[in-house]
Amino acid sequence: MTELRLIKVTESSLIAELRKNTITVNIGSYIISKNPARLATWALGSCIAIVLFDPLTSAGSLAHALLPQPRHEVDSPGKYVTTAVHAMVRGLQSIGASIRRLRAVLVGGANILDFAKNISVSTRNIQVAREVLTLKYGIPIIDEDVGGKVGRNVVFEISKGVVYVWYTARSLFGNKINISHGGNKFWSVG
Amino acid sequence: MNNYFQDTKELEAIGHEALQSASKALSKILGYDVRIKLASAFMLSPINLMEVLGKESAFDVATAYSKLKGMLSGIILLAIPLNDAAETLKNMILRTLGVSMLNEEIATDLFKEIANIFFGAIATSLYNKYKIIVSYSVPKVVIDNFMAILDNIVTLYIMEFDELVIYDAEIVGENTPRIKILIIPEEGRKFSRSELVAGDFR
Repeated sequence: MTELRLIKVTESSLIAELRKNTITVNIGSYIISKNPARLATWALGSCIAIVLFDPLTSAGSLAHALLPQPRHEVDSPGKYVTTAVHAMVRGLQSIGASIRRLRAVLVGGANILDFAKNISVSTRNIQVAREVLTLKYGIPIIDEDVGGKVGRNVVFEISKGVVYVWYTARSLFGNKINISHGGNKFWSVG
Repeated sequence: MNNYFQDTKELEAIGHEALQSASKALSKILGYDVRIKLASAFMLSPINLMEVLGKESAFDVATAYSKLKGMLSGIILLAIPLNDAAETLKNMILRTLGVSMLNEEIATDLFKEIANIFFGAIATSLYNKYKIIVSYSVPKVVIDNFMAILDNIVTLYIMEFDELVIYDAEIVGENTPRIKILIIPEEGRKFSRSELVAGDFR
């Protein structure tokens, strides 16, 4: 069985390779697929990427959710953490996955613009995702890369059960920024 | 794409006046003639923000932003493609100070000051034309992928405001870097043409 894991990427050559042959999950949507799809979502700010994976069947799903939960009627399930997780679980079950085997990874929930209101939205996205996955569905969160002040790109390689993450922040002169501790500290690496 | 936009004559008038004013202020500070011209002004709902801007703006940007307060509250944000920003700032500093080396901290401070000039010019134009009084916080700078910044903005405001205003401008003669200025009204205020004319933002 292939276990789900998260890998942070900094090498430009690997990033270039990971960008190839991807299926993009747009903001406010999710995709369910079986091996060997390579799902990707780009430029996560305070939105949160939810990855679900069944190691036995190699069925996986990636969502790019904007908000914790709907206030009124649900226009699009992928837009909200609560409804996205529900739709992903049901969809994965429909292609043979078992909820007992599902594992999760969370990425995103950054606070790029330094406003109190922003912190509240990104923090709520993270909190609600944790609560829904673990308390409502009993799905363990294997790893996460959340919070901080930087944008993130995500590629989910279903065949390997690997979630690749890299940061989009730059210095003013275009240098890449290296991040530690979930994006809270960073330094230029040239 | 044009389906999203509205009649924005008043917004263009504000933009023209603000950019002229910013050009003068920048020219005075830098000691040489800087001309910034408005390419377009339009309005966009947050749900369409990433779809429209994302297609043309999937690149890294140097962004300065401030919190707006007063009769119009929200965020004002100035974004320049990163390559253009670094090059333009280098040129400005080298021409103004005559130094050969550019410190990133100095460049960031200069960028904040430029944003300050732009935001001040827009605030002044809003008052001159419509007697709308706004103040803004000291600009902060963030450098990231424009889509990630838009993602942040959409998440913040998708449930609460109808439209934001976008000015697309360029600095003439500096390899014409493109500038985007976003004005994002808070708490569901509609930055519409009719309200601009009425000046009713309270």
